[in-house]
Amino acid sequence: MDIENAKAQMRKGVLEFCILSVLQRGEAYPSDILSALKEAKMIVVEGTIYPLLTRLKNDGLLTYRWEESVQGPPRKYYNITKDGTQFHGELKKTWDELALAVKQTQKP
Amino acid sequence: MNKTISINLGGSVFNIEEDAFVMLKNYLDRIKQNFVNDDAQTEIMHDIEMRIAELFAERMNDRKNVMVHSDVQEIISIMGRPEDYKLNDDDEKNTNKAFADNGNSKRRIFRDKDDAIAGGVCAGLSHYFGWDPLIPRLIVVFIFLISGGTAILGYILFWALVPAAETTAEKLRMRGEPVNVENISRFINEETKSAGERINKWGKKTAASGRKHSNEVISTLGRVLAILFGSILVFFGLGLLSFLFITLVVSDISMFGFEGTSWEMLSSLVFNNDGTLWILLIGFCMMIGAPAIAFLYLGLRLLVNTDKLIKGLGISLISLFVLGILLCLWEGISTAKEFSRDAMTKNFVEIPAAKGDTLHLETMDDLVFTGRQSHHNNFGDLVKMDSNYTYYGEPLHLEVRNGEAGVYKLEVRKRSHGRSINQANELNSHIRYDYSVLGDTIQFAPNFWTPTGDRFRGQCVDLIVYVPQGNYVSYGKNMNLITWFDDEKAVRRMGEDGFDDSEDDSDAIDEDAKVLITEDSVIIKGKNIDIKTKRN
Repeated sequence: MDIENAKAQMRKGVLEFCILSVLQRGEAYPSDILSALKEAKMIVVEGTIYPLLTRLKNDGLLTYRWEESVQGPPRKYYNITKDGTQFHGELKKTWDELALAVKQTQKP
Repeated sequence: MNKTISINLGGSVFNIEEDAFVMLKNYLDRIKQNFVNDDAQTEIMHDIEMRIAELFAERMNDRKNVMVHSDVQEIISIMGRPEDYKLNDDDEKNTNKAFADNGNSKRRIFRDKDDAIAGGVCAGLSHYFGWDPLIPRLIVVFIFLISGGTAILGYILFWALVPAAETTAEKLRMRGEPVNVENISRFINEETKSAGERINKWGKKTAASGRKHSNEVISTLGRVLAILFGSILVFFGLGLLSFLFITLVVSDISMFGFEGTSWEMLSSLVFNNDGTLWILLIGFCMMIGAPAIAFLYLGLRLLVNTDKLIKGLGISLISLFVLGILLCLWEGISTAKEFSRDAMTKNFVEIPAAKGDTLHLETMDDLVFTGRQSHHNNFGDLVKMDSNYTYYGEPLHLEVRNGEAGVYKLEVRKRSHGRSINQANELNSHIRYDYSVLGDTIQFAPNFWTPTGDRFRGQCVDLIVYVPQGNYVSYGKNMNLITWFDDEKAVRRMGEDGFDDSEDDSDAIDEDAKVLITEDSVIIKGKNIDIKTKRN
């Protein structure tokens, strides 16, 4: 079993939840999301996030708007939708249950 | 020193070194491959390019304004390997399955522009069937030849309807190789290498020939059109030449309305001297031959694609063509003039009806020309006497009219044309027509004729028989040769306005009636009946 691959898969599984969590705090553009996630050591490489953002947006959980930037091309600012908030709530509940379950199974 | 390329990435322009560009391009292509089955492919790729553009912009400053290989490497390490873009395992499985579907089992047909001679149709077919490209090419050439060139339409249709393999994925599919990241990167490497070689070769070649084919598509299309028109022109040229051959050598001029006539007959019968025929033939050759040669020459030039021009050929051919038309017109008009005047003579002969009230009409045997070889054509019959042809006409026209009381009369009308009244009269007087009157019977010759040496100038003979009202005409043997005659009304009574066919005396007993059976006919002949049935 490839340990690196297993770790990556584990992270990917909760990545959607993390992205929604970041956006729950307010509007953000991909670089903001990326730095938050990088800080939390949630992701190592940036590429992963783009297909995910597009998928969440297409599923109606996120929405975005264009904003002119001081330097460079306009940026996409993402916002969480009502559906997204609800979805995030569900995920959080599951996460808490899981975390508890994991904690309990780790007890000596 | 390195070459740089200017690229547009996510809406911003960057200068990037060539090797860095190739690396970035491969990277983006491989990422793109992850989302082949994703509707959002374009959007995802756009976002990724935007991010890379942002990372590029961060690295730009006053002293650095070009992206190099190490920058791209750095960015790839930030963004992640192409595999890192995959969303999860499910997607990976799906994509692999998709590759298997359209890669291994389903080979798609594309045109191969990289290995093309014209449209890459044959090269594409060779990939599809796994053959050497030479095989479909030979087959296409063979079909083209046996179809007389019409199969070119099939090729053009194929060209128009089958797409060319443009992207790497399409090129792999064309070859039936699975479309996956490994194959794509291998293929791109090969492509880049061979493209480099090709560009080098091409550069040398163009430098040597000094020509620039800036747009290959246009030149290919032009080539195909040139072959198409070249074939059509050669085809027309050969058609005209064979037409000329048939008219001159086979001497069949029935296509001009002279059925069964040869140039020789026309010459000795219509033209005043042999020169006329020769001038006409030379003019005809020039009129048909010049365009034939022009078509062949232009067609062959298009086919072999040469720029060589024979100097003055065009103007010579046009002059020949015009001269040919003038010669033919000249001779045509001068011959038509020979027919411009006409003369008619009428000759009346009274027939003392010996007994009864019936005039018997018969046609005598052909005394002059029987046994000679004759050529039937639309002038009449031509008979060869000595070295010349004699006109031996049959357009005799017999008409029976209501005449004065008590007098049977025969009128012989002769007509002829000529270039002058005198000549028309002279030719008219030469017309020979024989008939004889024996008691109450007129015997007509089946033909008139003109002496050898007289030209055909529309000579003809009309016969008119005048029969008093209330008397009878009986049509005797061979009368069908010179008149429209109804077997069942062999004896007809002259009424007030022409024949009175309603009165019928056939009920009366005719004791003198005879039945004569000959080899080829049955004749019933009596006072009021004269029926002849001929065996076919």
